[in-house]
Amino acid sequence: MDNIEILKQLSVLYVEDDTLIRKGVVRLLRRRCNEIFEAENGKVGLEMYMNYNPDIVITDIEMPVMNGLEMLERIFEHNETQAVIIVTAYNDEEYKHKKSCRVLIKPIINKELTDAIVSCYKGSR
Amino acid sequence: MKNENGSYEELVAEVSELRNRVAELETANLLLQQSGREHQKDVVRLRQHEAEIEALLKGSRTVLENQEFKVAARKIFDYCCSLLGATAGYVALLSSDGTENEVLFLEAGGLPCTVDPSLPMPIRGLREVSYRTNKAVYDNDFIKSEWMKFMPEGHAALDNVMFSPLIIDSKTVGIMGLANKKGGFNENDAKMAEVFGEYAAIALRNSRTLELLESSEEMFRSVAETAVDAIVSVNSKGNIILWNQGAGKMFGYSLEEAVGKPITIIIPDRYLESHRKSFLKALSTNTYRPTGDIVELEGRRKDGSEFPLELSLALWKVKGEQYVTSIMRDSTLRKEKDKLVFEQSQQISMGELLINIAHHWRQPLNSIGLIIQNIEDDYKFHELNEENLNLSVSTAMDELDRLSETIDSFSRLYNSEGYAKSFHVWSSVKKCLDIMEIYLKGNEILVNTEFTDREITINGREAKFSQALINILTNSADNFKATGQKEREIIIKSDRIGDFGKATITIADNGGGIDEKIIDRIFDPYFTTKGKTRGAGLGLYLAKTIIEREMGGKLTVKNVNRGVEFSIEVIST
Repeated sequence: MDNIEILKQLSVLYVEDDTLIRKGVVRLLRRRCNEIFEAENGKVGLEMYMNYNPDIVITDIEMPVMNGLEMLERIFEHNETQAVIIVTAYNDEEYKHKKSCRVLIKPIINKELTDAIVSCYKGSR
Repeated sequence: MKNENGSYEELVAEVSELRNRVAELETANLLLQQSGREHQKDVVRLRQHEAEIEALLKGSRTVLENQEFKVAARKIFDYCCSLLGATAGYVALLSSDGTENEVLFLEAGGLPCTVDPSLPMPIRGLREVSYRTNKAVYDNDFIKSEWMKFMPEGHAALDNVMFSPLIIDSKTVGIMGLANKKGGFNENDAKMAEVFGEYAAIALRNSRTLELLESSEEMFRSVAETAVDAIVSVNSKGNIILWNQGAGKMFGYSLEEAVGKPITIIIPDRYLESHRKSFLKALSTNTYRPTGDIVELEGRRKDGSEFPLELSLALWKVKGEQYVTSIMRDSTLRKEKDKLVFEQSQQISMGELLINIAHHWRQPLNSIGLIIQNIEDDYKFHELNEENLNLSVSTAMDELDRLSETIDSFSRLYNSEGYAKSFHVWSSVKKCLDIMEIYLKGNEILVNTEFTDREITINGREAKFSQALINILTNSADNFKATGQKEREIIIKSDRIGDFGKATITIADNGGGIDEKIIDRIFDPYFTTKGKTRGAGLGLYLAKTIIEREMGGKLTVKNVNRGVEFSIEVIST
């Protein structure tokens, strides 16, 4: 099964507070994945995660209300092996989480993102 | 016979009369003799008084002459001896541990005395009584007295002795010993000896005070002379009365050239008027304001050249006469160093500018990247139509505008060009908040402004003022981020103070405040509480530099109710 086929089966939760970027990424993923859930902060993201139990979680770190790291803590409490990709503007230790599968530095590149989704999905099974 | 010479009875009467006369005369003669003796006694007493008064006068004179104590004590001792008729004795002072006599000099009166003078002379025997009672004591039969047991071998023979105490502050600090008076001492001698003891005590106290004065004067002189700083004192007429070597080197005037001249010889003309006013004000109010504060201005050398100096002033008074002393330090070197640090910090602030721009650019760049990739996607998925393309292009163009605006606002901010001019605090604060809007919102910081007067104007380069303001706001924002606190609020207030033509701008947050241990250091360059991943912590230093060096104002910080409050105090125009 090639990457395109794998992507087509996956459900993805994308958490990002910047609307333009969120819409851009969602548009990109919607064409390739099975299901996309979007959230504008960690709190909404966590609720969606609990409701839809997505295969992959992609999240920004600096967000209002509940930041990405806090949300991830709660998700890992629930499922320690959850496949998580962090997308951040800062290449600093404080924007990483040791249980995340991959950290991507913005700007987001189409292929980098989809490759990361596939490889994290494979790694989590 | 009877007829010629009167009657016998008459003769008898005459004889008896004569006898009576003789008896009267005898009585008169007796009285006369008696009164002569009295008179002689009076003369002796008078002579004694005269001698006493003369000795006392000599003693007082010696005290007044303020000689070295040893010399004065010897004179007083000699006067006392010759007045009382004592032929031997000594003056001694109590040792610092209070256990011994330390003999100043000893007069054996021509008698052989072979006692080793280095032997200790403990406080015991008859002298102990004098030390203890603060009174003159004597013993006219010393050989038979109980004190003989203390006499060392080879001591000059003593018939009689007297001790008179030297009392300072009702404590006996030394003793005058007198001995071998022909016929022994009496109460009057003791009284006189006490007076001479008092003279010696006064001479001792004076010599100690003088020594203290001399050493403190010596100390002041050496401090003043060895100081690199200029120390200059003027009298109330403004004429120089003290001019140390440091002043000589700093200004080029020698001591002779400076003393007596008006202080204005070292003051540049442009300061003369304000100097005159503040000097007169200082004299009339008897305080120099701001006392102790260091003032920065320029001094003028003998050759007319000027140099920057730091000056502190003190006003003092001696016997109703006012004097002003100033200590001045050449700050040329310090200024150069400051300039270097400032230039370095400007370079670092260029670095910060890049970091800031990068920060502001990341999101829009990311967004544009996604738009372009989605155009490609649209084409791939055969959905690229006019509507999609237009939407993508206009969104991308909006983002590009944002990028360009960011650069503009930052370069305006960091631009070191421009002239100082009057500007409105309110509009400047507004502009800063606009520039920082995305940043503040992104960090969920609510900023409220409370301006009692939006018309307040201040003088300076607005861009620099904005930079200071933004640095302060950034500091608060960084603190919020570090503590992760919710409900973040910053309140900016501005007000006029009094009628001094001053304005304040305060920036207060509710971020929990700064540790009192480090609050004094937060304006230091290179001081940061942030970790290694963020800027070099120059923001507050720059802010302080701008407000204080460039604008002549004051930037202070204190902990308030729920957080920290920065206060900018500047002259309003």
